Amino acid sequence: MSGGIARGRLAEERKAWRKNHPHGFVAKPETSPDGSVNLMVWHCIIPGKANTEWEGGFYPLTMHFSEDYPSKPPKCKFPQNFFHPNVYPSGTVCLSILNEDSGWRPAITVKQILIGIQDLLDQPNPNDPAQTDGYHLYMQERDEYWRRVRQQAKQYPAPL
Amino acid sequence: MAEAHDATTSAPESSSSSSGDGNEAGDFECNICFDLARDPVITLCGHLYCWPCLYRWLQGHSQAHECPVCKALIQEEKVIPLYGRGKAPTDPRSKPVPGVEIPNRPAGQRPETAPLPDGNNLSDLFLGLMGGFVPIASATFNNFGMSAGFGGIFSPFFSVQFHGFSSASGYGGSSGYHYGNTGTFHENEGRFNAETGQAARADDENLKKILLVILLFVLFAFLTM
Repeated sequence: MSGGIARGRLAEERKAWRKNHPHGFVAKPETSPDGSVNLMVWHCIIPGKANTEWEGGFYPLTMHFSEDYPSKPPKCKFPQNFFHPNVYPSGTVCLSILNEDSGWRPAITVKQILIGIQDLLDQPNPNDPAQTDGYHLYMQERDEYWRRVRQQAKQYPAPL
Repeated sequence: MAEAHDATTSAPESSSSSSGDGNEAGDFECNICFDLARDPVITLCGHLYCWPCLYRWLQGHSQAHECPVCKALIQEEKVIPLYGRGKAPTDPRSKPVPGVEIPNRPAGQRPETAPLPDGNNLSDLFLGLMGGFVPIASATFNNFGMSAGFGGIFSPFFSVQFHGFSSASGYGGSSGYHYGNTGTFHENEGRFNAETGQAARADDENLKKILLVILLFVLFAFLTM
């Protein structure tokens, strides 16, 4: 199933991103110490939306693309134990558009993914919990939930 | 800070379509590899792809063939190839991609060329149909006389009426024509045939009769002067 589209497409994604990307977001392919670029792994930063409890946080996200991209979606991971109802303890984001069997379409861009995840931060989907901690607090102790969200925002300050 | 976030929230709208990125080639980029489409094909929903890209997507997701952009159902055989100028319809670039056999693009569907705007074709058809009906037609017209001649386009109507009527009164026998089952003949099939046959016949016959009538008039005018 390879065929080599993945890198070409990622090169195009990178071009498009450099030309124009939403403010506050970062998305760049991994660079190894010798200076070579690995298009298959992107390091990104998603800013918390203004006027939400997530504001002020700049959340690091890693995108792992497979050779089957864009037939298959990239795996998007926050740091381990990221606090959010729809993020697995491993950090993997659970989002319909990132699910190969439901919402993923090859036409979805890196930009759209990042914006989708930014939306998800503030609008968790209680029908699809991925961690007990975030889910239970969100459902039962909303005040404590928001406190944890604000605490996490401080944990990820603006990058230099 | 607030402005910054406003910028981020308004971004998705402007970027949702690839052509909105200020990219001139955007209209012709494959929706899968985002490069200029090679072996371009277009779906019925209007989305452009490289054929190899689309084919691979369709193969990998055989349970539901959905458009990678809008999720409309895609039938492989209904995908339309785009043939630009100066390239063979079977594109040499449908070269084997390692690991996957990419067949040729589906061929374009070619509707018939437009028919010539020529009435002769029609009358030929009618003449052909007419062959077997000469007895009917002539019988009809003999009885109907001049009014059929005047009738023009209405004459087929009249003759059919007349015909149904006459066949009931033993037409089958008198004509000696082999409509053995005359009982039902005049109802549908017979009537239709008679109509088309007579329509053609009428054209010919009418012309002659109109000429005749004109002649008569001229003659009449001459006599009364």
